Amino acid sequence: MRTDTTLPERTPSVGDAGPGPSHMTFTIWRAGLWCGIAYCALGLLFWAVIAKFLPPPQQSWGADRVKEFFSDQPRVKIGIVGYCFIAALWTPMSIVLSRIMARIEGRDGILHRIEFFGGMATTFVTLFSGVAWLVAAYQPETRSASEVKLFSDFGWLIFNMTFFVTFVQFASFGICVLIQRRNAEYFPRNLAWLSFLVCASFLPILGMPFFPDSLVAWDGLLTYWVALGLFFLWVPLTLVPAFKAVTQIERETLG
Amino acid sequence: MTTAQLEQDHLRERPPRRMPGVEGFWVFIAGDLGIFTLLFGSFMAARAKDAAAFEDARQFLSPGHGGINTLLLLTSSWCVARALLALRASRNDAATRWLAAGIAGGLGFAVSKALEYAVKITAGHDPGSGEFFMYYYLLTGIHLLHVVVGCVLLTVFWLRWRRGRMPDRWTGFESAACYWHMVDFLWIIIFPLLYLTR
Repeated sequence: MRTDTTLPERTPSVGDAGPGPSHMTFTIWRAGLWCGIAYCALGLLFWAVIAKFLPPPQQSWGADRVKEFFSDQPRVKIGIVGYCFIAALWTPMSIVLSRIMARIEGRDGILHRIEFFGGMATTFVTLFSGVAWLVAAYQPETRSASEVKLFSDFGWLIFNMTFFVTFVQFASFGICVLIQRRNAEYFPRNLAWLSFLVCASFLPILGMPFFPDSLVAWDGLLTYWVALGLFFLWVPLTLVPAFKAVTQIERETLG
Repeated sequence: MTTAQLEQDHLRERPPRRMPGVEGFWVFIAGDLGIFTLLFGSFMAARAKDAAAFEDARQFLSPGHGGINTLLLLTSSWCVARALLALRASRNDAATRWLAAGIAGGLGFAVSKALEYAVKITAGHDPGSGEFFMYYYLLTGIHLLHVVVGCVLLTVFWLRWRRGRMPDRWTGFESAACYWHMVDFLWIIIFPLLYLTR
C-alpha cells in the first residue's frame, strides 16, 4: 500500500516526446478535412445514386417489394460496398475538428473528446448499417422475402436509431463554437446554432418505430429529407471555416 | 439647433440596433420555423387530397381544450416578456416572479396536452387511427417537445436568478425569450390548422 501522499511526476506522453508540429502536420490536417468532403460526395454517389437510396426504399413496403429492390444486382451491392468503404472518411475529419476544438477549449476540455468519439461512433454506425444492407443484398435469390426485409429493416434502424452518437458530436461542436473567445474565433457563431438545428432535426427520428408510414418513417419528410439535408448542408458550411482555422493555427504555431 | 442636427444627436445617443439574443441564434429560429413550415405544407397537401376524412377526424378534437392551451401559452409568453422588461430595468425580484409565472404557464400547457392525449387515446384515437391523427400527434408532439425544452431552459434561468446570480448582459435570456415566443407563435398556427380549419 502506498503511504506517501506526493504525486508521481507526470510521465511524458508519446506526443510530448516526439517532434513538434511542422508544415506537414497541418497538411495532414487539411487532408483530414478533405476526407469530410469526400465522405459527402462519394457517400452521395455510392449510397444515393448507385445503390438508389435516393429516394429511399419506403418503410411501408412489403417484403416482396423490398426483396425486388435488393435483387437489382450488382448495382445495389456496388453501391453499398462503396458506402461501407467511404464510411471511415468521417473519422479523420472529426479528428481534425476535434484538434481545432482542443485549441479553443484547452487540453483539459471534454468537448473535443466528445467530438472525437462521436466521429468514430458515427463511422461505425455507418459501417454497421451498410453491412446489414449488404446481407440483404447478398444472394437474395436464396432467401425468403421476409429474411431480406428483416436485414433491410435492421440496416435502416441502425442507420437512424443510433443518431444520438452523431447528435452529441454536433452538440459538442456547437457548444465549443459558442465558448470561443471573442478575440480568437475560428468559427462563425452562426455555425453553433446550425449545429443545434441539425441536432433538433434528428429528434423526430425517435418516432420512427411508432409511425412506419409517416413523416418520421425512414423515408419521411422529417427524418430523411430534412435531417439528412441539414447534415449535408452542415459539412461544407463547417469545413470552409475549418480550412481557414487550420491555416490560422499553422501561422500561430509555426510563425 | 436645426431639426437635422437634433435628429443626428438623437441617432448618436441611441444604442446601435441589434437583433435580440446571442449572435447567430436567429439561424436556429429561422431553421426551426422552416422545418415547421414544411410540416404545415405537408399537412395541407395531405388534407387537400382527402378533405372529407380529415374533416371527419377533426370533429373528434375539442377546440375548447385547444383554446385553453392557447390561453396558457399566450399568457406564459406575456409573463416571459414582462420578466425580460423587469430584468432590463434591474427589477430583479419582479423578473424572477414573472419568469416563475411564465414557467408555470408552460408546465400547465404540457399537463393539459398530456391530459388531452390521454382522453384521445382512451377514446381510441391513437396515432394509428388515420392520417389526420398521425399529423395531429406528430405536429403537437414535436411542438410539445419544444415546450418541454423551453420550460427546462427557462427553469435554468429562474434557478440562477433565485440564487441572486443575475446576468450582466441580457442576451442569454433574450434568446430564451425569443425561443419561447417562437413556441407560442407555432402553437398559434397549429391550433387553427388542426382544431378549427373546416
